[in-house]
Amino acid sequence: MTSTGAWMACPDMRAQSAVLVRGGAKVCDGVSLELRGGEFVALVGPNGAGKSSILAMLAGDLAPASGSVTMGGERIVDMDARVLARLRAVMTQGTDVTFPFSVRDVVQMGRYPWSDTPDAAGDDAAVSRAMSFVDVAHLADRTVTSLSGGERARVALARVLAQHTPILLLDEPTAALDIRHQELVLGLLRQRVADGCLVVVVLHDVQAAAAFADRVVLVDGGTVRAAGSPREVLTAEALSATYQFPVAVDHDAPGGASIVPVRRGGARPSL
Amino acid sequence: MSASGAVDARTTTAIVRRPLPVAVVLAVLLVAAVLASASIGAYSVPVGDVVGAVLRRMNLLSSVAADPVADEVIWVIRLPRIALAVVVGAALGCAGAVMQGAFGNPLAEPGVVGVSSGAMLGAATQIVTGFDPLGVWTLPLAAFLGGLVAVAWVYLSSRHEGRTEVLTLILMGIALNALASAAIGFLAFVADDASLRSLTSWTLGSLAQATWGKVGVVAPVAVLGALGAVSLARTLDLLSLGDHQARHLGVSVERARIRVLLVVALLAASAVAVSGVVLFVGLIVPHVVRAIVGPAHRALLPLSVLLGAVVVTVADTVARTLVSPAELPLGVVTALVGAPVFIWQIRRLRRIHGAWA
Repeated sequence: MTSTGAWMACPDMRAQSAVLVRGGAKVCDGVSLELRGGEFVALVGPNGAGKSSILAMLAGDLAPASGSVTMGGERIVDMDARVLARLRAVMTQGTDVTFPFSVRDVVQMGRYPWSDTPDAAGDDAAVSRAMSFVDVAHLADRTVTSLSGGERARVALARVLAQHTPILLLDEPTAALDIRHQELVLGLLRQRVADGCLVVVVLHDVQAAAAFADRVVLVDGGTVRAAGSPREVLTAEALSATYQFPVAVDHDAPGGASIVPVRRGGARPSL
Repeated sequence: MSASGAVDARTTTAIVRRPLPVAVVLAVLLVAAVLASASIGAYSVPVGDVVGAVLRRMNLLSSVAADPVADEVIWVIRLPRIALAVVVGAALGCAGAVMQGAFGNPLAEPGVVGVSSGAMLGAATQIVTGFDPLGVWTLPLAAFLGGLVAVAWVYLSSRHEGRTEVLTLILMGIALNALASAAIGFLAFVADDASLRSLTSWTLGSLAQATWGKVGVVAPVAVLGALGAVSLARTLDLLSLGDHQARHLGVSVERARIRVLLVVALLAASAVAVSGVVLFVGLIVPHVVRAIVGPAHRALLPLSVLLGAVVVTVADTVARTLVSPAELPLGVVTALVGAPVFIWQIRRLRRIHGAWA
């Protein structure tokens, strides 16, 4: 339970027939999921499928209109904010910061749940380590407002890592990252999973999901269409139907699964 | 979203200036401003005699005053007024810093968004109705309640999904300011002569008719508010990221919000109860401090208290000496300096976020 070594025990998470209503519309309809430590779970699906909404319910940001979302058997929306923040860290899309905090300040905010605890002694070490993990240590004294999108995303990730929680809920953490940093981050998350953490990630990159996830949850129309190993879920039929675009899948391609849109007549029209 | 090629290093490197030396500089400036202000005026008193007058009053100096009139002017007229200026400035600077953090927006400040107007309406109602169950404390309490209603209203109506809608915030401020001034106009209409006089000396903000009694009433309110603000420093850092992110990091947002609203109402009330609406101090002061030591509230709040005190002390000195023997309203002086800064802020935000409508 120290900030340098192991995490707090990872509680199970469970969504049971969760229905979420936003602006009068049902954005999630009967979502049921069981999640536990030691799992890398990827939520995939088309735009507007409800992936971020599911993540928001798991994070405790939005309460289901019916059904339940629990952590360790307790309804998340009823949990104390401080207790919850020691168990799960969240990275949302659009992590804008209005004021020119330094990168170090922002990562330091990840230590807030541990203030007034013995673990606060490890704050500086945890912040430095988190920054070097995602390759932003050299930006420590820069203002976040001056960084590029990809750099800001990595800073947000560093903050999430500094929070030192057994559960990580991340909405498109790699969307703005270059190839090297995407692999760095996903590899790092794999490492966390090996250490017993639960990592739930919204991913648009289906190939990355196939390569890194233990379990893929295919979301469409606000509900779970399929859940299971990448090989079970990410089939040509299922993906083509969900994305309404022909997709070719080869899980045994050299260098990892190949999942690509079928571009008839070549991607570029020949003149 | 992408990095542009060459970026000015001054704007991209975080400010690492230490807050303590800045605090020392501001404290020295404050002492200098107080001494200068006490010395300048229709009846000019050398700075040495100002110090002498204070020391004699505190029985730290036994010599007889060379100029007894000067001692009276200093102690009875100027110093209470300066003390009020210090309290008002400290409260407004601090209130601005708290509001900008809690709203996550650099345009929030008690005057512009109508919190001061609310406090003023509360106080004006008390003056005109003459309802006075708590003696000297009734007026600050009335201002506090008015300010609390106003800040709660602005906050709740300008927030959407845990973030501030800037346009709504500013429009709500316009509406609240209009509503309050209409209500105060109505009160002035029904008021008797005596209450009308104290009401009008207020409307533009003035520290004339300062007494040590007033200082004794508003200073504790301001101190309470400032201590509350400082205790919220780290929470305000997180609240400035928006409600969702603050909650992700363990802030109990509902509870923090209530504490913020109470603190802002206390600070606004302590300022408004003696000076009426003084615009823009709460806007400029935190902005300048942020440019010097960065946006972290642990340094921002105490330094905004200090700089606010300096600014209003200087502004009030200008207000009472520039057109001497007549006096400018304090609110006019602060608005003259503050409005351009406000416009510049809006233009800067517009450049960053684009037009709002």
